[in-house]
Amino acid sequence: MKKHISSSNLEAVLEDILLVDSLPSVEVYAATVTHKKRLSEVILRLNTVMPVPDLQHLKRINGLRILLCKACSFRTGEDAIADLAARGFDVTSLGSVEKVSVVDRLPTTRRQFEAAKNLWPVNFHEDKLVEKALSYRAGFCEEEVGGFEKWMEMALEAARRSTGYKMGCAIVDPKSGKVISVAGDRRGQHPLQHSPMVAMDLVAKSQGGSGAWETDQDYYLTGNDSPDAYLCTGYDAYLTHEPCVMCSMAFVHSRIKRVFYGVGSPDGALGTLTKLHTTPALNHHYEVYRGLLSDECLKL
Amino acid sequence: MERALELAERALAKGEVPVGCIFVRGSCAIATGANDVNRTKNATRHAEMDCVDKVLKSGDSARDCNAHLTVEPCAMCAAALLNLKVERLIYGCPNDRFGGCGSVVDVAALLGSQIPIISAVLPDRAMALLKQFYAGTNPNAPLSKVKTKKPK
Ligand SMILES: [Zn+2]
Ligand SMILES: [Zn+2]
Repeated sequence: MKKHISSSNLEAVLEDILLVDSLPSVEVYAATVTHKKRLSEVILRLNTVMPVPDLQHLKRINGLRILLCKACSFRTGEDAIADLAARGFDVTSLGSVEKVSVVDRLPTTRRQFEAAKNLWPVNFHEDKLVEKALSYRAGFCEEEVGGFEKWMEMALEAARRSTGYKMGCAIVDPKSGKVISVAGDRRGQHPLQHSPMVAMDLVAKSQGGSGAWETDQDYYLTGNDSPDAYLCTGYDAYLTHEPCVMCSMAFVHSRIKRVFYGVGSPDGALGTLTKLHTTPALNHHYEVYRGLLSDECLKL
Repeated sequence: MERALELAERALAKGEVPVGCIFVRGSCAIATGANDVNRTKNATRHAEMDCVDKVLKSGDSARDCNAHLTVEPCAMCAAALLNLKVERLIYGCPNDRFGGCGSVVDVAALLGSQIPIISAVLPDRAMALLKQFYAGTNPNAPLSKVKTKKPK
């Protein structure tokens, strides 16, 4: 069977916390419960007498051990027991107290969960999209990557005929499978005409807007002004190079869906200087993937 | 900054995002900018980008200009202005939705820029205009404009 061998090492550019293998830990006091039969009664009572609002991600019980409180709350385990007694808790149901290391927050990935539950039982709600993004080739199949590469070829072609830096951008509607605009870098003529800025301006023109700039070798799909077309909503952008801060923020304003780029840039804002697309305060977030046809992009 | 605020007031009266932008070199105003998102259908056409284009069209550059803005520029515009080496960036009120001078992103820190950034110049008036706009209380704006307004 003949198989298309992809030259892309596609990976998702994800927020830092998702890439951490094991989460930061925090110390807690845990005590053994002397009578197994009274376990549920002890948990109930402890939840009332000594609630742990900032340890809600943890199970209260681990076998015959029960989590009392954060270790920083008391100088020693004995102090914690004394405090419980003062609150009217029957401390005869508890045995020895020890310090235990646990994770300080809810795991966001399965890998973090596996590491965390070795310390102490912990809650976890798997996010299928996150797990897919973390998997090999960001979870895309060979055929999908082949499709992405086809679009990247257009960006590469635009880069080769660029009058500025050898960089290019293609904006595509993945639903219709149509390319909306293709642009090269024009910094020679205008310092702000990076290929993504030009490509976004051409999208505006495709939707019947006046756009802002006149360009020559770049092009766009005419008659793309259907009522559902609104800025770059639902569109994907293919870039030979990681976009700068200006262009990355412009994609936020334009509401792009996904950005694929070949290689990183020293001034890039989607992985190098920062990961702008993961900034929580922004009102629109897009997905970012890198490594698409990176060898070809490097050769430019 | 008074001139920039006047521009913002005029934009509000037309139902546009009330953001004023003016580039000054020495004591000479060389260009003004206005938000042009609706006409162009290009969401990146903020007042600052419009102003830069006007300066470039006149054959000049933004270098050594003081950029006076009524509102903290977004990360896109902040990056553009710093990369164009304006002399100083001066703005009125913060922009907690998109601000690129520390409110949401600190672009100067990302770029390692030493260009002076001066904030809170007549912030109350700039903020009052924005509040009026986002509350949709501008009595001069036709209803359709109010409904289709695009956030800056
Ligand atoms: Zn750029
Ligand atoms: Zn802006």
